[in-house]
Amino acid sequence: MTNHAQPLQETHWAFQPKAIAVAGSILGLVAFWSALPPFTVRSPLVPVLIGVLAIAAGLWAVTRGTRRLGWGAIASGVIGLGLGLLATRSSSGNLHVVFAADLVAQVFVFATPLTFGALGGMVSERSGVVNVGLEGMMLMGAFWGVYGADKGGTWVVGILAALAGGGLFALLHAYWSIHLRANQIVSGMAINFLALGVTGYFFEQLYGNQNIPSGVSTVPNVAIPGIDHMAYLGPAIGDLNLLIWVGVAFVPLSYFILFKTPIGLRVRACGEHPRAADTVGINVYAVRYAAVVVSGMLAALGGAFLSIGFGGGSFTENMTEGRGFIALAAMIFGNWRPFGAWGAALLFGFSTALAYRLPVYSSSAATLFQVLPYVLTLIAVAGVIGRSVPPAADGQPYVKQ
Amino acid sequence: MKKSLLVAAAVALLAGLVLAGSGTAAPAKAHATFTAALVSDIGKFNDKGFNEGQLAGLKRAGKQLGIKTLEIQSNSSSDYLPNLTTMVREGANIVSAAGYLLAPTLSTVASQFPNVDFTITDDSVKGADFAKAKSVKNIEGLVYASNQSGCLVGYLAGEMAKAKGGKQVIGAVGGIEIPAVDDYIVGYNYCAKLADPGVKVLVGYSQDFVAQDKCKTVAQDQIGQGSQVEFQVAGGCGIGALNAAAGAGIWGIGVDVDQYSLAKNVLTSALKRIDVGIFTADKQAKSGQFKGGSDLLFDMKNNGVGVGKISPKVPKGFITKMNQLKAKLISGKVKVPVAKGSDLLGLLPGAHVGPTH
Repeated sequence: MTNHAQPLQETHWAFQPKAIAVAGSILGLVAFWSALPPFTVRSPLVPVLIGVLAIAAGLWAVTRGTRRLGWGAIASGVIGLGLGLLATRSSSGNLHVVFAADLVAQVFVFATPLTFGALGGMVSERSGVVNVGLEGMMLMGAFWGVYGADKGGTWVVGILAALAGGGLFALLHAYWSIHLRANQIVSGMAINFLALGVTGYFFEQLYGNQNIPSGVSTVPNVAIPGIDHMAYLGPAIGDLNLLIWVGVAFVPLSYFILFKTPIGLRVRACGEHPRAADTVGINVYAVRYAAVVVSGMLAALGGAFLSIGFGGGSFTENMTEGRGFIALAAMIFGNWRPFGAWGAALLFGFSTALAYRLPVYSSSAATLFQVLPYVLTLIAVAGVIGRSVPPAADGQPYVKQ
Repeated sequence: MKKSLLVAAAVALLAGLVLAGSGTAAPAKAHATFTAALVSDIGKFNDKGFNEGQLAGLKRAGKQLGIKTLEIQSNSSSDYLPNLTTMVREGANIVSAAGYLLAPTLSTVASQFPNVDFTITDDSVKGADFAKAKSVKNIEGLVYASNQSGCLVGYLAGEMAKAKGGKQVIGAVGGIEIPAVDDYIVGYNYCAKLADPGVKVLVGYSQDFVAQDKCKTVAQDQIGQGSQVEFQVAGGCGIGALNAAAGAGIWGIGVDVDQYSLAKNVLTSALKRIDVGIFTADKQAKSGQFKGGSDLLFDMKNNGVGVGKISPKVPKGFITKMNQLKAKLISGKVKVPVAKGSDLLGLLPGAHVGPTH
C-alpha cells in the first residue's frame, strides 16, 4: 500500500506531503503571531491570508494521504486565523502586556513540571506499567526536595531527597503492580492519596508552627551571558531556572535512549510484547521495575521544581494541584513520544501562563480564565485531535511461564 | 421516729448548704479559668502573616490577662463548623474567628451559643456577611482601616518610584478581589499618586492566599511591565510576590504583619494590628465589657493599623513626609478612599469609594 502511494519519481523532500503539512502547522502559528508583538499587524487581512494558506497546505497534505499531520495543519490554520483576527481587534496596549517576551519564560515555568511528569509517565508506560501515581510522586518530590534543601543546607541535597522520595513511592507502585499484579490504576491512585497524606503529615509535624523558613537554598537560575540582556531573548530565555534547562535537555535525551539505544529497545519490547521480550532473554520484571523507578524520579524532579525551583523554597499541602494528571494527559496527547509530550506540556504551560495575563481584558472573568488548561486537558484526553495509541501491553501485568 | 426525722432534716440541710456552696463556687471557678479561643482560616497559623499575627495576639492575652487560651487550625473550609463548636464545647468564653472566610459559618453557629462571645476579624457584623444571621448580639466585628496603612506604604512606593526615575510603574498583588484586600490596594493607589501623580499602579490577583508560586507569577508579570515596587496583599501566597521582587532587584512591601525579614529588598510592611484586635476583644470579654452586635474600628488614630520596619535604604526625607501624611490621616485632613463594598463605609469617618488603579 505504501508502495502504491509512493510516486515513481523521487520528489524533493520539501515537496513531500509531510513537510508541507508541517509547514502548514507552522503557518497557522504565524497567522496568530503576525498580529502579536513585536510585529503587531493591525490589518485583519494578514492573519486571514496566512491562515488560509495554512489550511490549504493542510488540505493538500490530507488529499495525499498525510492525514494526521494534515488535519493538524488545518486545525492550526483555523485556530491561528481566528485568534489572529481577535488579536487585530484588541487594543495593542493590552497585547503588549499579554504577549510580552517574558511570556515565553512563564510558559517554560508552567511547562517544566509537566515535562518531567510526562517524560516520567512515558518511560513507565513504554515498559508496560500504567503510572497514574505521577501526581503523588511529584508531590513527594516537592516536599522532600524542600526538606532536603532546608536540612541539608544546599539544593543539591534537596534534589537528591526529592529523587529518593519519588523513587521510593515509585518502587512501591512497582511492587504492587509488577510483583503483586494489582490493578495499576488502583495502585496509582493509592500512591496519590498516600503521598497527599504522607507529605501533609510530615509538613505538619516538621514545619507545623513555623512553615518553611525563608532563605532555603534553591535551584539557581542560569543567566546566559550575552543573551540575558538582549531585547527579546533576554526576558524570554536569558535567565531561566536550571531545572527548566534540565527538563528541556531530557526531551531529546529520552528520545535518544528510548528509540536509539538497546536499553530503549528493551524497555519498549516489554511494553509492546513482554512474552517476546522474555523469550529473547530480557528480564521483563527488572526492566519494568527500573522504568517505574526512573519514572517516579522524573516526576519528583518536576515536584522539586515546584518547591525549590520556581517556588523559591516553599511548600503547601497538595502543592501539585493535579499537575501530575495534566502531565499524564500531555503524555497521551503526545502519543507516548518525548517530543509530542513536550509539545503538549508547552501547550498546557502556555494556556496556564495566558490565564494569568488575560484578566487585562476582563478582571471579573479572572477565575474563568484559570480553567483554560483544564479545558485543554479535557479536549486532549477526549481524543479530539488525533487518536493516540498506547503501548500494546500497557497496564497488563506480566506472568512469567 | 422523731429522732430519725430530725437527723434526716439535718442531713438535708447540710446537703443543701454544701450544694449551695458548690453552686456559688462553680462560677467563681469558671471565672478563674476564663478561656479565649481562636479558629484559623485555611491560611493556617504558619502563614507568617494574617493567622500567625492573630495567634500572637491570643498568646499575649493569655500571658498578660492570665487567661487560658485555645487555638485550633482549619485545614479546609469544612473544618470551620466543627472547629467553632469544639472551641465552645471545650469551655471557651470567647471564640475568635480569624477572618471573613468563617463569616457564613459563624453567622449560624453564634446564635446557637448565646452565652459565648464571638469575634470576627476583618468583617462587620452589620455587613452583608451577617445579613442572614438570626442574631448577631454575641458577635463583635473587628474592622481595620487597612486603606490607611495601604496609603502610607503606597506613598513611600510612589516616592521611591519617582526617585528612581524612568517609567513610573508600581504594582499590587491581591489574593482575591474582595473588599478586605482591595481596601489596602485602594489606599495604596490613592497615596502613591499623592507622592507621584504620574505613577501607574498595576493590580493583579492570584486567586489564592496560600500557594506562593501563583503570587510570584502575578508579580513577575507586573515586574515585566516595569513595576518598581510590589505590594503583596495575599497572605502566605504573597511571600512569592516578595521573592519575585527580591529576585528582580526591586522593592517588595509586606502585609498584615511586619514581613521585613521574610525576603530581601522589603521596603516596609502595611500593618494591620490583628494581634491588637484579638487582645482587645479578649480583654473586653474578660472584664464583661464585650460589645456584641457592634464593630470595633482599628485605624491610624488608635494605632490599629500602621507601617512596619522601613528599609534603611529609604531616604530620611521620604519618611518625614510619610509621617506628615500620617498626621493628616489621624487628624482627618486627608481622607483615604476605600474599596467598593468595604465594611469601612459608614464606620470610618469620611470613608468614600475609590479605584484600585
